Amino acid sequence: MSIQFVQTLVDGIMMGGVYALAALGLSLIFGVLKITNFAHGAMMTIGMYSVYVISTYYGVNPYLALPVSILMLFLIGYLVQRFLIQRIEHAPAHNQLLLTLGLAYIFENLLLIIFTPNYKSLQVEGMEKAIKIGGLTIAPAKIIAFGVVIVVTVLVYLFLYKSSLGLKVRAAAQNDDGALLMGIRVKEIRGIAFGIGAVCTGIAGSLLVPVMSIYPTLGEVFQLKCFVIAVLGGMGNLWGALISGIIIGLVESVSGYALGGSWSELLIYAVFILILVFKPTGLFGRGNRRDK
Amino acid sequence: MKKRYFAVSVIFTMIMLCLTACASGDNDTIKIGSIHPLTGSMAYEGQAMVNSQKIAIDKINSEGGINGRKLELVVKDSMGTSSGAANAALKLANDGVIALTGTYTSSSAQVVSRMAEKTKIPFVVTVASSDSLLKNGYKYTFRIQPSVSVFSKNFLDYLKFVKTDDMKTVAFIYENSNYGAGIAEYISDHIDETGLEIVGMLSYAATTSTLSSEVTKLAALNPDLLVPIGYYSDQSLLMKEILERDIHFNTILGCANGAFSDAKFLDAYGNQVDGIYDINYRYNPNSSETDYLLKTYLEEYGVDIPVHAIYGYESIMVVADALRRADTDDANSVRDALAAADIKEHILPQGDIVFDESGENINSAGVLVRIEDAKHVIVYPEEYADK
Repeated sequence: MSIQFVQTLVDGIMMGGVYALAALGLSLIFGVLKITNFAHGAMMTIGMYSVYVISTYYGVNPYLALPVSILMLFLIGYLVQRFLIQRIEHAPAHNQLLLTLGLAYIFENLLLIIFTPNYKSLQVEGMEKAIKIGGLTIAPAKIIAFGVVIVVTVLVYLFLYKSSLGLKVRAAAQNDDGALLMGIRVKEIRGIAFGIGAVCTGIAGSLLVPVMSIYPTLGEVFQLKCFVIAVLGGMGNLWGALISGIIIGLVESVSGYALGGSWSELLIYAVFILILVFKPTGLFGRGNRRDK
Repeated sequence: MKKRYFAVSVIFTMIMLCLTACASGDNDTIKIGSIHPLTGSMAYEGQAMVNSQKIAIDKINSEGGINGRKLELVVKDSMGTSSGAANAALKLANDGVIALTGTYTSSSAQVVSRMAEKTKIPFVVTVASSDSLLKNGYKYTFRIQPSVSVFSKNFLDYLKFVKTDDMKTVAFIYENSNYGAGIAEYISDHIDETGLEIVGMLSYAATTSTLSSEVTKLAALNPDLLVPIGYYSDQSLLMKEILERDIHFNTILGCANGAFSDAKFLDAYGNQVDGIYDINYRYNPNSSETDYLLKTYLEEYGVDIPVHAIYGYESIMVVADALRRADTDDANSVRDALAAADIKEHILPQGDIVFDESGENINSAGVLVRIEDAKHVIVYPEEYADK
């Protein structure tokens, strides 16, 4: 294996990790609320701008802006669920979907008005140059991003499976009537789940700020990719999303290297269609149990 | 129920008030339509175009307008889509504009061009580089900016100022639409004229979020000359990856590169990108009108004018010139005046603006720019060199 190929694999895994975290949020929201959040990409962009604004106006390292970004995204997610989506929970699925789509446009256009469509980019001091390991070169921002992705995924796992609040979330996901009878405040739990989903995607966005130029509609680029990853991993499946994210990252980078970048988009969506047709529950999915 | 009626009527009244407020243009103004992407992924480019058009309109109005009448810019969002552009053109035609301007993307320009022909309203292209745009035999479409083939010919022509004796191999990295692939393919078809050997043709989708594998491949190919063609965000991403990894290419020469000629690119990378060349649009640095535009844009919008936006400004100037010469101010006479245009005073680095039968600006040309000490310097043609 040539060193270039190894480099391509490493790049793919790193970027795939970030995709995975963004998709994790989408998957989580779907798992609990049975809603495909089309405002997901726009929420990611909000995460990016929050980090950008804090870091440029207060002159702090963008990674230190992360907590504020997390808090903001949680609030946005929670409020959107409690005050908008909750109100139409019995409406047909396509109405809920259209609501999130409408939100996406509102968020994007708000960002356009506030920040103008100008591209913004951040240079993080001391991180302009890649780190060289053996013959490989890796940008520090990507290493940090990958590390944060792993930590956040583990935290979300621990929250869902080891905490009592997480137990309630899972109960509400499996059977909301049953959960309600057990005294779980399902509405609030759903708000929290949506909030955490938004935080995941917001963090993914924040991690990309040092990597690329941002603009108000950047989220659209990730929206569909997240959707592909979440479906590939099985909607609602945490580890499935992580592994699928890395798979998509690898497909993108290896096809870019071997065939050319025009092919990577094609292959990603070809994989997506194959999964939909032959294994709609995803690579690892039992799907979500309630539908059975 | 009553409450709901009340709410509905309040909303209705507000909408009507808003609409009448927006539509209350002066009846005595001459309206020019502007169709650009103001939302979507090309909002940055589209908004800049409209900004510079407004500067041109204000300038003309402050100098007394056209025969005592003021100009009014009617702006419609194309959302970067063909259907959006078609809707916008239709609304503008109903609104009584005497000319259409736009549209930044070639696909939208095609649609507007067809509408212009149908409604007999002249269409002055601000930016849209596809060659096929003016190959329909239409009479109402005019283009000021250099097309794909003009840029490609400029490239083959100006290469001699960049080429060194030991330069043997070339690789292209380009976004895969009409514009990037169009230029890359045109040049590669004529590569024999340059004596260079192509070692790589790498294309990518402009919306990509990473170009790592492409950069890895380019590093392995190690061409003597690297030719990147693309929009701002993707080309900026490309440069970031190259700089991060300390990969050195002997010579980098962009062609109509959306990033290299942009002032923001210099803000982002500073001296790290010194020595990069680009063949692109540019203003004529020796024109006093250019100084006015650059200064006003910076004052009004707080950023340096992106180079493509000079065509927004010039498009209005070209329409205004036609209006001054037209017998009447109806769209048809404006078209005839455009066809007969011969504009000597303008801000472009080229000879007179004259349109041929198909509507193409026969003297359109790009310039060769080099980044020196984090500044753009025109290398060729010499008469526009701002050293």
